Amino acid sequence: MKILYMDWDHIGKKDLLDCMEGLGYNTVLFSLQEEARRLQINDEWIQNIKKAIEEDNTEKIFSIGYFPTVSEAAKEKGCQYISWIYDSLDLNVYAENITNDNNRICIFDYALFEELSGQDIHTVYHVPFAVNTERCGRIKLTEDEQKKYGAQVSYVDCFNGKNGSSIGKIPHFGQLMFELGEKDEYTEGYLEGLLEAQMQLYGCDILTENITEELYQKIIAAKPLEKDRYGKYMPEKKAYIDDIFCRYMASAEQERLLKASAEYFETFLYTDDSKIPAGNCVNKGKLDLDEELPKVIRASKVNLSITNRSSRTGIPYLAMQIMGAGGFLLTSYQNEFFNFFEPDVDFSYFSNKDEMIDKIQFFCTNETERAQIAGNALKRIEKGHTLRQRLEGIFG
Amino acid sequence: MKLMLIDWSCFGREDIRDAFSSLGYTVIRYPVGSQENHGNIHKEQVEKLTKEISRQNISLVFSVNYFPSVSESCNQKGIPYISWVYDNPQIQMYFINIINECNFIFTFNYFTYRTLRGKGVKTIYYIPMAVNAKRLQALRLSEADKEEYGSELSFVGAFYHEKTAYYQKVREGLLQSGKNRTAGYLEALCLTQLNTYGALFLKDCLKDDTIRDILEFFPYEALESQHFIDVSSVCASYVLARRVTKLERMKLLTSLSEFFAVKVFTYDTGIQPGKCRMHERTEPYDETPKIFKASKINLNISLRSIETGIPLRAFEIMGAGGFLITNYQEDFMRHFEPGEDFVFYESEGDLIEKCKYYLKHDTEREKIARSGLRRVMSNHTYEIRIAAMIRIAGMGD
Repeated sequence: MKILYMDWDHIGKKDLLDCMEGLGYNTVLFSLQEEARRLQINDEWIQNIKKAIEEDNTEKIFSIGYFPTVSEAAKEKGCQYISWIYDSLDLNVYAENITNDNNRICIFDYALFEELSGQDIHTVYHVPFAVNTERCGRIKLTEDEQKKYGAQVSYVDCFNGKNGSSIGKIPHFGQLMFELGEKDEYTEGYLEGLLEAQMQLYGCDILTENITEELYQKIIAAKPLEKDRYGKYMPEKKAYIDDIFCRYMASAEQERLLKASAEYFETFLYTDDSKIPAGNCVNKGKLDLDEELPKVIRASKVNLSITNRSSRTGIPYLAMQIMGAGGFLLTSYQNEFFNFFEPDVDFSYFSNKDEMIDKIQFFCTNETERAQIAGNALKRIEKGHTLRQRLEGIFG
Repeated sequence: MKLMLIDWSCFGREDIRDAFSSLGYTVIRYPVGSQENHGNIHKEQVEKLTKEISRQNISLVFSVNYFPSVSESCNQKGIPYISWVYDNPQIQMYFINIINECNFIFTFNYFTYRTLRGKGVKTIYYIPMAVNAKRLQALRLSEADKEEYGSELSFVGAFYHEKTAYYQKVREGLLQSGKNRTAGYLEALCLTQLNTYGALFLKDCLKDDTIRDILEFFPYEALESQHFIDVSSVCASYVLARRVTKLERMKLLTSLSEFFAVKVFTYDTGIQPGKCRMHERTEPYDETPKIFKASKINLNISLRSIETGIPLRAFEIMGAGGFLITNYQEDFMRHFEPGEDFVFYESEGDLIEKCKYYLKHDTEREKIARSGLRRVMSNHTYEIRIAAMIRIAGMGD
């Protein structure tokens, strides 16, 4: 199979290319520059991509993330365009042309899949993340590396701010609250209360219902929706909730939980921005996700996964990698885990900060249980969630 | 054996006294004033009580709710003190001397039991409330009674409208002093909690600066060093949860009154939820049970600060042979079968549907009421409770 692989700086690339090679796919890389990755369709790049399709005799185009420009080019050449959404907030997935017949859009979050397919959009599919267990299994951990990466608790910010989640990078939220604070402190406090309540709850969205029309109007007045930032299928209110409030909550929550963990346990954070403060948490800075992530996972006692609320049900990328690398996973509650894995058998979860601390405490001191769970998870991943299986499904 | 009963105007005092008597105890009453004055250890009270315990040769002391001074006396005399806590929260129950070895403190809220045990308090136990169903069954209903107390739906309860409207006082204080942000924050917590079933988050949303603002206008003596309760729990319960409960009761009853004939019995004046027919507060011992007998459906909408416990009201309803529809409270599942002994609702819509259904299906409704009555008569009497408490206190045979 001849695949034109849209190359840009996304995570998991090595795993995908390695797996595609293993499956015998003939993959040609195409450097997809920033202008081609925007919501707005770029005619020049349509031509560039079409030329590449002709030259390589491409059968299918593949990208991580959805790009309207790529879809147009593929459509004009009669090629199937397979995109796999990795970001918990990929704004492009709401673009008008997701309905192009040649699209096959794979979404890891069931809620989003349901939201779009419920609008009679037939080009979307629910595809959870998977792990390249073969490549992962080949990576070995030396004694020195065990010392280097072996914290009691580790947390890896995989998307490093390129995604909907990053500690501290929330300019839109800051702007909105500043505007509100200037004119209407009551509403500012009200919104803070609402967000704080949401942060106490997992597995449900209380924002949509509780942001009344009256409150919504005040929010819009303080910070109007950015023109041209959102696609046709993104409801206005959801744009605020996902793009502004969920980002804020992801940042606040990561900070809060990491600070709490670091109060009692040796906690390592891996993120591009080494200046991020999180209490006593040790910020180890940048991590080579391809080579080092599996090592961190295996060396650490507890591997944390904290869901970004803009993905309402989906199992996060990091969580799958943790299980697939043979690590012990402790995650914030998220619905889809329960569809594919068994709690307390394949993974552990928490619904609030205190529960997280209790469970870290327990699993740090109970090595047997920890190893048992990690072992079960790996078996389950190898059985039904390998990248090979997933790609076969997507390309089949 | 002689039991000293700390006597105040609490609900159930006669039933409790009777239960002890039936178990062979001589009951000596020790009257105390309003329990509000007993939130601390008062030396003179302790001395007086200790003397009386000696004089009367008391082997066991019992009170409804917890009195720190009583505990001190019992501890000094080395005799057991059984405290059956009806209120939730009862601030005095979190006093530091609850760990006195003489104590056997019983709470009807499993969450409270678990929380205090989690803090290392070994003197706390879980025991649900009770009802004297036999006495209630004996109450006769005249035609006039049916007319006055009966309805398709009845609700008995408070609306925290006047004397305990702490939220209003706090809110007014905040707005007047320009603390609008906190005022908005608290309102958001209340309205959001109102719309959210199955999880309580009021306490966890109160951060230090918010609490500081609340305490400026809420008269709580923060004896934090002496209490097992933290001030955020106090604020969440007394200030916020009451308001949420008020809003919830108003909302649900107003909604229900659109479809059904609803009677509301309450001491709060100036309350008018929709088309409900308002009735003043009834005398709890002999009058209130008539409501439960005469009405087709009896509603329980629990105070939101009770995390899991079955409210006394629910027992009273079932003990009177009434049909109970209640909000979901986890502890029900420990003792009763949903759909068989009682019914619970999960949302406003669900409540309306269930009321519609059970008003149409008399036989089924009556069957459930009978089953609930049977259950409380066999498992939830005062004798059973008192006997259990005595046994746990090491006084049983």
